Amino acid sequence: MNGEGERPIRLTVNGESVAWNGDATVPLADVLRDGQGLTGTKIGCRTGECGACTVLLDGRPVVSCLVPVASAQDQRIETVEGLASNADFQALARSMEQHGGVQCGFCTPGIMVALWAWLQDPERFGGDVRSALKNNLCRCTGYLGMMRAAEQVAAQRGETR
Amino acid sequence: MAWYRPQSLPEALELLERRRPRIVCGGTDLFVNAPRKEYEAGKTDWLEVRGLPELRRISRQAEGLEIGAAVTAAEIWESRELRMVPALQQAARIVGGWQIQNRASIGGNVANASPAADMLVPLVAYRAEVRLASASGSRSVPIADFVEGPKRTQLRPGEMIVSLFIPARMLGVPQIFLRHDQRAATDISIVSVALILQGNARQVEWGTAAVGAAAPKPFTLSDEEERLWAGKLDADKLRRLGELYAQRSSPITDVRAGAQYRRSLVGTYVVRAGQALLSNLEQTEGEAWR
Ligand SMILES: Cc1cc2nc3c(=O)[nH]c(=O)nc-3n(C[C@H](O)[C@H](O)[C@H](O)COP(=O)(O)OP(=O)(O)OC[C@H]3O[C@@H](n4cnc5c(N)ncnc54)[C@H](O)[C@@H]3O)c2cc1C
Ligand code: FES
Ligand code: FES
Repeated sequence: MNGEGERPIRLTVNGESVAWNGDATVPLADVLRDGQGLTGTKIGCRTGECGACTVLLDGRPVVSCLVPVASAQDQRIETVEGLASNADFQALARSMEQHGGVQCGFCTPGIMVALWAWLQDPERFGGDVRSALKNNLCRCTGYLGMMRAAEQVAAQRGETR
Repeated sequence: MAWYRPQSLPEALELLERRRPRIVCGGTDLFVNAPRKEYEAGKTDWLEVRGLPELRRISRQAEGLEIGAAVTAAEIWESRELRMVPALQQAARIVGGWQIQNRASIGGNVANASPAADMLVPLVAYRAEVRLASASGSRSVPIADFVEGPKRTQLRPGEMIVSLFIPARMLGVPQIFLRHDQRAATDISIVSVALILQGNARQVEWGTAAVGAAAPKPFTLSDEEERLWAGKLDADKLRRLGELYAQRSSPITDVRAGAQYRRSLVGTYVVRAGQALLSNLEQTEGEAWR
């Protein structure tokens, strides 16, 4: 318990333990960007709608603009930077390139985090990737490329299993 | 300012009594646009209830089903145990998107008492009870009374929601939740309906529905009026029921929709919910015959 807010808040970010000495209610998104220099996490709206600030908490995607930093204390925080070294993340990145899924640099990191999380268990959504992207807004050319990219990685993985 | 993260319900209730902190669960209502100026002013103490084991349980009892207040929307629609309350699972799955569902709690949805709240609507149709606790004891309130109006509830200072309790007669009974919205994405409800029907198209034993977003709080018909659901349910009767719910609604006009449009949608969605449930029922009956 951060009783009187004296002790620093300890976080586990991409496997590393880090401390936060500021206000407990600062959004995790700001702590990651300003405190940790992890600027792959973007801030588009601060209302939970755009998904650009998506990170994983204990493996589940959340919008980090709505997570007060104190509330992420004993959870595993993974950002797009941390996920990037995974083999299946790289497979997804290549597939995104091939399918023209990378459109703008602002939404793409959050979309990659959500798609990567979806790939860990596509059956959660009965294989449907659209439902997993409901919380990621793209207002340029659409979702088709990204969805195909993720579906292809899922299909390939199914074959090699 | 303090951020309290108690490890048990008794500890949490003691803190709530002594320090009167603000309760936070997933934070998806409280931290929208992070009104940090207000929160950082140093006046607010916070009590995080998200990890309290007593608020995390789902338990089936003889009298019904108890769902802890901190159970999230994603946990609700993913849960095998909760397949006996499909309308609640459907409502949970439409809340925001995946990222919101991973934080949004059922207790927060009820406590926030938004007229457009989704999980609240099937709970009202189920005649669920809100189970509350404070340092001085616990009590149980019917959900229709607990929610008084937009953002207003009967929650007393020093009190928190521990769980939502759904009576056994609602479990496993054919039911559906439908919502009308503009973008089907992270948008909010314009009109929603949770309908529960026991029986089949030729002979409905009983039915009940709650309508959301079309009045200051979700509403049902009186017991007397609800008996209309019983008996043979044909297209004409369904249309009349839709009109009755539309009459009982008191929608507002806002940026999303006008009051007249909302009212007509109430009728349309009651009818659609009825049709969808009846055709599901026929299908499963058909399968049973084969
Ligand atoms: C982008 C976005 C989309 C959304 N879409 C939808 C939607 O489609 N449908 C919908 O219904 N909602 C939607 N919401 C609203 C929100 O996600 C839900 O109302 C959610 O269930 C609130 O739960 P929480 O745990 O996040 O609440 P919090 O924000 O933590 O708390 C909300 C309120 O409840 C109180 N509270 C929380 N837990 C308790 C408790 N155990 N006892 C007493 N009081 C308590 C808090 O003090 C606060 O007043 C959306 C929100 C966002 C940001
Ligand atoms: S910045 Fe968090 S959802 Fe848009
Ligand atoms: S990817 Fe950014 S708007 Fe489409």
